[in-house]
This record gives sequence, structure tokens and C-alpha cells, in this order.
Amino acid sequence: MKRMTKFPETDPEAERKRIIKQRNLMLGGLLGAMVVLFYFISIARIGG
Amino acid sequence: MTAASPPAPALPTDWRDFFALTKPRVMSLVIFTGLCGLLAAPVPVNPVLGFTAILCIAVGAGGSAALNMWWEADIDAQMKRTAGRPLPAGRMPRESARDFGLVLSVFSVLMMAVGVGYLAAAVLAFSIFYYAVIYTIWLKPRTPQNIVIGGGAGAFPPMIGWIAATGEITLMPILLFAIIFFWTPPHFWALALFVETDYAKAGIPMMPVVAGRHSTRRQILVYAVLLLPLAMLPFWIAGAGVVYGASALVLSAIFLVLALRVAVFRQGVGETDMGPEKRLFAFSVFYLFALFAALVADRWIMG
Repeated sequence: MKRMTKFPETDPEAERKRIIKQRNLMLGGLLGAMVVLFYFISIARIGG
Repeated sequence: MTAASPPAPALPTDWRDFFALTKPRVMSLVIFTGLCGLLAAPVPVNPVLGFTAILCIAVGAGGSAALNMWWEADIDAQMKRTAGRPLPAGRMPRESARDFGLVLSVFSVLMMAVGVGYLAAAVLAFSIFYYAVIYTIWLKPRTPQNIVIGGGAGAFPPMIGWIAATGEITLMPILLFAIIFFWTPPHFWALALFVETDYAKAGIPMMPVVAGRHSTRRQILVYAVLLLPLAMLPFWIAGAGVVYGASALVLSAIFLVLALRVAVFRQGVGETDMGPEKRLFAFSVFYLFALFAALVADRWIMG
């Protein structure tokens, strides 16, 4: 008898929210890192 | 590029697909060679500015890779190796890849200009233009010499790293550029020989498709012969020490032997057996990593 694999049902709306949340977190993290980097660049440039 | 686009995806694009647009595996080699150019320069570099320079090189490479995927989505869809990428797989609208690539490219150049220096930023901007426009849009679909001239795009990172450290273009960064430029054709043609059918299907005029296997193998050998003295030039005339000189000699000699086995000494290996090509391709990746690591080791050990 052929075995059938049962995949968990996913709600498209929940999936959409999950992806957007992950993207926002990633973008926020990157922007935060940029702020820190620009701070250190400024210190390094001022220090000569 | 054609007007036909895959249907818009039902779900928003996952951040991993944006990351995939930057070709992370290629980026690792770009970061490594850029870092080597930076560390091999004979001047001390502020760690923050050094990190910024490498970040800009990586982001610029990612931006140009995204523009490359945007332009080549139709071609990628026809090749098994690239059909699963975000655009041909329909996981992302085409415009998103274009906009993402443009944002990364502009951001990397501006940050390099503000944080590191204008000369490094100018060379970075030119390298992005070279890869996205001269190679991807102009040469790749038109000439079997695409890899030769397009190889220049991959040759920029160590040059930019060196310029970021020193603020000037001297003989050494030009030699580093030339080494990668001459390394690229045998590296990619070895790969193209064993994925030939895929390129032919997509209509890309790669050398094995246009000129045939025999001619491609001879040209691989020509570049391998030229690469040996070229790799020695930093030792002979540009001030690299004996650690680099000995490494370059041994690595280039092995490269040449493997190229000879591809092009000349194929006894017991059939025309369709791609064992020698696969060995040359695998070694060519190691060759570049080891050669540039030797350059940095030489600078830090010999002073």
C-alpha cells in the first residue's frame, strides 16, 4: 500500500504574518547595526 | 531579459530569499580576497574602517549579484543548477530583486565614500557597473570570451581592499587584479566543460558550447601557463617575500600540471570523462584561497 505523507495544515494569513514579522525583525536588526557602525566610524574618523 | 515574468507570489518574500539574491557562496570568496588585499597592504589599518571597507565590498558584491539575478531570471529558469533561485522559482517579484540590488549597490558605494575614502568608493562603483552591466547585460549573452572580460569583476575586491588601506593604486593591487583576471578563465571553463549541456540549453555562448571541448581545453592550458609567471610577479618585482614566492611557485606548478592533464595528457581518460576538469575546478578554488592566504601570511610573518 502506498504510504501517504500528511503535511500540517498552515493558515496562509498566519504564514504571511510570520514572514512579515521575520522581515521586520531582520530589517530592524540591520538598521540598529548600521547605527552602531556609523557611530564607530565617526569615532574612528574623528580620532584620525 | 524578456517581458514575460513569473506570476506574482501569493506570500510575501522571505528574508532568506533576499539573502539568496546576494549569492552568499560567491560573496565568501569576495570577502576573503578583499580582506587579503586589505591585510597585505603595508600600512596599519584602523579595525573599524577595515571592517567597514570589507562590509562595503561584500554589500556591493551582493548588490551586483542581485542585479545579475534580476537580469538573468529567464536564463536561470532554464538551467537545473539555477532553477531553484528565488526569481525563477516564483518566490519573489522581479522588481523586488532589481530594487534590492540597486539599494545595496548605492548604499555600499556611499558608505565606502563616507567611511573609508573616495578612491576606494569609485573603484567599488566601477566594479559593480562592470559586473552588472558590462558582464551580465553586455558580454555574457554575446561572446564566448564573456568569462575572460567578465573575470575582471571578480578581480576587483583585493584591489579595493588594498586601496581602502593605502588610499592609492600601486603596482601590487594591479598584480592582484591580474592574478584573479587570469585565474578566472581556466576556473570557469573547467566548470563549463562539465555543465556544458545546461549552458547550451540556456543559449549562453560559453566557450565549450561555441568553440568545442578541444579548443576550450587548449585555452585553459594557455591561461594556466600565463598564470605561473604572473603569480610570481609580486615576489619578483613587487616586494612580496619568500613565503609568498614559494607558495605561489608550488601552487601554480600544481595548477599547471592539472591543466596539462585536462588539455594534453588524457591517456586513459575519454573525451566525455570530466574527471580532470572536476579536479582542476576543485583545485582552482583552493589555489586562490591558498595564494592570497600566503600573501597575507608573508606580510605578517616577514613584516
